[in-house]
Amino acid sequence: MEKAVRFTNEKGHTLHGILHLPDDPATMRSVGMLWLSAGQKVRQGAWRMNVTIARRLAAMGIPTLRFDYRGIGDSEGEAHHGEMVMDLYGFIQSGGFSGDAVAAGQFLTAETGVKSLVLGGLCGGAITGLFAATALPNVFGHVVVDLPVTISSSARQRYLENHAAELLRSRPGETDTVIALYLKKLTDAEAWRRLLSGKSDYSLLMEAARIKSRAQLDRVLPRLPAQARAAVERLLHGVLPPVEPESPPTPVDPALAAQMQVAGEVKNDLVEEVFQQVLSRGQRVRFVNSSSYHPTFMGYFGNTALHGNEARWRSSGIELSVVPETNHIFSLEHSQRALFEAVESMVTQAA
Amino acid sequence: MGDRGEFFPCGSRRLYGFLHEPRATEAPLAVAPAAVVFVHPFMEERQDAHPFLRSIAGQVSARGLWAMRFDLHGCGDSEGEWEDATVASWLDDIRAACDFVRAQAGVERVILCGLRFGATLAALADIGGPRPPLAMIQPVVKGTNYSMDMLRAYLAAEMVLTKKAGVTRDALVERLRLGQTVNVFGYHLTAAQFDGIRAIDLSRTLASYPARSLVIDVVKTPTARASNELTALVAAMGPGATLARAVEPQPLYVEGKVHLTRAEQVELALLGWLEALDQP
Repeated sequence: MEKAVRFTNEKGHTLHGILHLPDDPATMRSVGMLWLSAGQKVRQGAWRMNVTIARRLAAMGIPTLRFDYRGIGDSEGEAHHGEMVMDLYGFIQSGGFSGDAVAAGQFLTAETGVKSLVLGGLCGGAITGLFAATALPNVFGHVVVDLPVTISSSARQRYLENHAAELLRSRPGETDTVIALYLKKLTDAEAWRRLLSGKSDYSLLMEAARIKSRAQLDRVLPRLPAQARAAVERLLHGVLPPVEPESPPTPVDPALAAQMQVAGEVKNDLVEEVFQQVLSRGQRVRFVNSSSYHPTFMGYFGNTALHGNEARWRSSGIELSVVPETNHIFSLEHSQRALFEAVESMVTQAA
Repeated sequence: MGDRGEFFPCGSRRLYGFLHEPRATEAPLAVAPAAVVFVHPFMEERQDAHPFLRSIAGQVSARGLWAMRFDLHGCGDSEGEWEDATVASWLDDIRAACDFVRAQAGVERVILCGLRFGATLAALADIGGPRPPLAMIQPVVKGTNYSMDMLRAYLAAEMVLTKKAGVTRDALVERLRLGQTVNVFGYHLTAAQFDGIRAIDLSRTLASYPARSLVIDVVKTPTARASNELTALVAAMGPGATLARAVEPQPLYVEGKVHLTRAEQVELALLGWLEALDQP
């Protein structure tokens, strides 16, 4: 059974949500799930992920609440925390919505009478849950999906917009997509008109082509004698510079950290801090990473906070799984299944 | 009771709706009492369009009319699963939403407004009585193109993830014919949905539309060319149809870089049309 509910946060804003309850009240367990939205998106999440998870949990007897943060979706409050979407991300990554999550946890506990809570969410929802858990007394554990471990800002966004080369060097895996998009424009009359009138910016395409060429070159170069290799490198210096790796080396080296600061993005030290607080309260943490995000997670958090030692994680109540061939929104069937299993496994432990 | 979200019945299932009661915060529109029912766009477009539709509904209620946003079967917070819905069930939902708002608001007159495929469904819905005034923001005119866009989305997602295109659009259509679904950003598109969408051609269905109507063409710059498709649609709909142009810095249904929560030009176009609705 699903109920439209509303409650207030510490600022007095009315927040709207949906409370999912078991159809048969007799089957209700003593654990509740607070499933948190990523942030900018409304409470259903990508592909209605949040609705599906909540329905599956309610069918298991776990009352589940999902809601809109202040200013988002149907909820009251200020929506703007800076001019750009990236600024909103930064606001969330620094715990901006944790007060709303605390209010939601209190509401869920009072409304259903559950004894303990599991908090979970994707991306901004994951980090909001960690922040909120330090102010809620009855949290058993967390399902933390693609936890953001850096701080976003519009400064970084502007920098990348103005530096196409930097953008693609940091994400060389996107070159094929960029080239395909431009190829599609060959049949678009409007694109030709813009090109001929000088209004098109093809710097991104040029950079994508350069990176593709460099990748081809990197396949050939190792077969050449060292002297010839050095000569080719000298000749192509400035034309086909080496491509930076797609994900940061692990652990993060100071040079890369400095480069990220220039780009306006830095490691989010708050994540480790709040994570340690969560552990010190005896709360369990189940990390679930998409394969596309896992390297970033490890580079900026996992290798330092988790010490790279699986036995030690497990003894502290930490689990980590990586879902192969998965995008950030877990939209493919196999990743949807893996996500459901991870969530349901945690609530089963809690119950 | 104020603005509120609640479930309402549609046959054996329940749909979620959000009612905006009329408020006297702005000069009231010079139009007979009415409720404006908003129909959302589909899949991820619904998520990204949400703040804009919320704002538009708020503006309408601030000018003295009832406004209601709601979720179609298998979408948003409404009951049902996406893959069980069809074009026919979605049209039933619009009728149910109109019946609900009539009862809640105590008004008989309903004006339909939709965005993208929501506009398309609004145009096709039978809500009882004569055809209603209709506002369409960037409607999907031809279902064939839209259905192919959905398959293209699958191919793009696959390419980003695997760095190669594994199947063709024809192969995806074949999958649907075999009773399988196609995963479009996590939504499982069915053959029934695909066929129902493909069969739609608003330029034929809406020819000589008998009520007042508005089509809003949203463009990025003042010098952008008008949409040929929307211009032709308005011409086909006849003298009661108006084509408006709204310049917005970002699309209303795709996540942009700037954090926008209002589409001011779209709001102005809609409110202006509502203001003139009862004038000869």
